[in-house]
Amino acid sequence: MNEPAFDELLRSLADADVEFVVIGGLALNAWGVVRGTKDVDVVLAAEADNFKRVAGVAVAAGGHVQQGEALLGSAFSIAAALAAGEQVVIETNLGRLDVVQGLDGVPSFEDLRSRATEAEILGSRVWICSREDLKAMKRAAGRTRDLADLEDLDAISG
Amino acid sequence: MEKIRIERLREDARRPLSVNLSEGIALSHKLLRFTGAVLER
Repeated sequence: MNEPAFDELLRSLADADVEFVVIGGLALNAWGVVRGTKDVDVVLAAEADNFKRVAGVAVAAGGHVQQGEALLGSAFSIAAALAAGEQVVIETNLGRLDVVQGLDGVPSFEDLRSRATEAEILGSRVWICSREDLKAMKRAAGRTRDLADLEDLDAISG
Repeated sequence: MEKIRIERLREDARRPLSVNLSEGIALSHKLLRFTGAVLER
């Protein structure tokens, strides 16, 4: 990664018409718990064309995916990794994009999107998962960091 | 101390999502630059 630029990464995805919902640390930020995060976590619409659009954005940003010993750097191979349905971490020059798929406790794109709220970043519109969905995902993940985040989200709601 | 922290969290939560998102991203960038710089040493 060169200089991190999560805002540019989000804008690139939005401008490429990628269908996605922001979850994880950046969603937590948006809801008012401002703490640092090391990546951009998203859930994608599970459609071949959408995977191709993400792969195009990734390649344009110098992205690659490490799969065991293999380094996937073409749009075709990244789209194929996404289509396999498992979690895919794409390292780009703008920062790390973590495509969350196939994890217990993470709702489908359609469910997340139906409850999401729009936010603006660098003039582009992105969808942020609902606070309730975020809390449910934090609860399901259950790591120390997630439980601390959950406590803060509960404090906001209280 | 905890009461003050929660009050600040609630104040932040009342701001627009876009404002909080931008602030969180800026903080993450600073931390990533800092940790990157430390690791390079």
